[in-house]
Amino acid sequence: MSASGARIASRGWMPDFCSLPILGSVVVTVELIVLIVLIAPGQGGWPTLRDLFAASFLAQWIALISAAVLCKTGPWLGRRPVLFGATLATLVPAVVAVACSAIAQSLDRSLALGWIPRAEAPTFLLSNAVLAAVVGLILMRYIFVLQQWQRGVEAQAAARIETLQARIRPHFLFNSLNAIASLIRIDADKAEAAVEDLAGVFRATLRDERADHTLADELELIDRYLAIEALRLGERLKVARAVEPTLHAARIPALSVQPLVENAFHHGVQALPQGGVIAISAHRDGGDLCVTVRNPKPVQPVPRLGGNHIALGNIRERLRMRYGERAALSVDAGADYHAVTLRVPLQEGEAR
Amino acid sequence: MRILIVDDEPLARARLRTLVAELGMAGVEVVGEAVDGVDAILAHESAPVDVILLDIAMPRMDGLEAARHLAALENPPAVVFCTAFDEHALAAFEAHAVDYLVKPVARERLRIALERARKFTVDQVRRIGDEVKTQSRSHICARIRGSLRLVPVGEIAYFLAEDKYVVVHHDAGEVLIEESLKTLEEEFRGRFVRIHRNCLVAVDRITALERTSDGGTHALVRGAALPLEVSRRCLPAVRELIKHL
Repeated sequence: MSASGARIASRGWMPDFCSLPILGSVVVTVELIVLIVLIAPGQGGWPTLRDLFAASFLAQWIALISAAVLCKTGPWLGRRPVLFGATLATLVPAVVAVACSAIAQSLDRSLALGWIPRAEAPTFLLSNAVLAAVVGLILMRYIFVLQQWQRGVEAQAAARIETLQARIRPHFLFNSLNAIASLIRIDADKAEAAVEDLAGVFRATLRDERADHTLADELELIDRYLAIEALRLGERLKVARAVEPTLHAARIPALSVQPLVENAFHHGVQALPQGGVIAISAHRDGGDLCVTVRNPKPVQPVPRLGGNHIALGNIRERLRMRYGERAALSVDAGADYHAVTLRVPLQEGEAR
Repeated sequence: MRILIVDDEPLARARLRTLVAELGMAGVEVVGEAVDGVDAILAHESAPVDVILLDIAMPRMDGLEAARHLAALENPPAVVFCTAFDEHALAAFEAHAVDYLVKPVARERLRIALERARKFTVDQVRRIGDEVKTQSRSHICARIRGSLRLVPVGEIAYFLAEDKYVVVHHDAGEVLIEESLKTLEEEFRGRFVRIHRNCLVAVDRITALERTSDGGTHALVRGAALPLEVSRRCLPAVRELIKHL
């Protein structure tokens, strides 16, 4: 999408008349219009081959010159307000039609060909101009709609790939596979456990979000995830957990806390040469369940560690869909620590 | 061919070590391991190697920046990047024949990379170093009486241009570097501010601006022994910056 995208962007709403596919559709469309005009009733019967040739010649002449002018002026027109730009763009074929028709008329007259019936002469220019303007307008509208649709399809595909990548987290996947590959030689049992953990994490990631999910399920998922990261980081990763046992059965959205832990790992512990402690705590606050994930972080942020920045926004969006305003995600960040708290309402009968 | 393995993950290092051993290439041996970019540069400095297998995502200093510092050394090693998934960071290298490996590294692929690295010339390595378009560095590399020093940028109070050198004043002393104040200013825009034709100061260390008796202005800078002169030309920009802090 890069090259064509840039070209589209620089022209705004204006179709790119320099491109071959668009020129092709201009030629074909104009030829079809010529046929319609010639065959339409009231033209004095079925057209001869000569009529067709003469009309096509003039029409294509107008069309190609108009396209050339719009090709050159497109970027400028595209940056104008739509109404103004579109009006000017529509006037282009009209003006070209008047000019070409006048030339054709004088040629016809001086060569005494008689291809253009003399009686029609005064209206000849005007009707050609109107016809060219209308055809031009329809064509531009058609191409514009087509491009909008194409852009929509491209954007949708890009969004889908992004979502998929965020879910699969290539960095995490390949690093884990690398660690497992190494572990197979050193400690086959540990490698086996790591494969199970990895499978567990990905199964959870790809599972239907509406499935029933409790805090205990989420904590287990976090344990599996952290077991893999601990394998990779060795002693640099430490975990502290403080969860009120009564809260284990509380229902929370799947993958609402694990991504927070993953962020804590990426931007905190992994970025610190000496590592650190990820503290996960859960307590009840009135009718709400509060889960906090806290981690130390480097004072100078490390920009490129392949973390997933979309996590917070994504969780917020999901909370809003499910709980409306009753759930929240709040961030408390200091110079050397980062803490995120998830607050969701406890449901009837849960840990009261 | 002497190899240094650099990765912050112990298992990743172990795997590369095993693979190199299994390849059994004549004269090829792993002589050391390092856990991040800074560690790698210091390791190479104390015992120079021919090839560095360098991970990209690491704490303290990432692989891209380490490659840039390494290429500027007198005896730069050939760098082969190892990465889990970092297409974008590596796109620049493909055109310049630097090899890079994706994890989990396959044994035969490693052999190809090492054979290629054997043919690297110093000039090639240097050119590649120039191509590395890192974000602003995390460390400044300097030499004191022949030995290498890596000064974390966060510990730098100010840069002062003197003759053809720039003196880096940091928390643990001062070092000379051969870089221009202009390129430093561009690289660390936003973090350091020009207060005088010859001086670049860490923005978050400016504690106050003072009027002097002769109508000039001084900046009080944390970590600087004396107040630093702010030139009339730079004053409005410095004021503006301080206001936003």
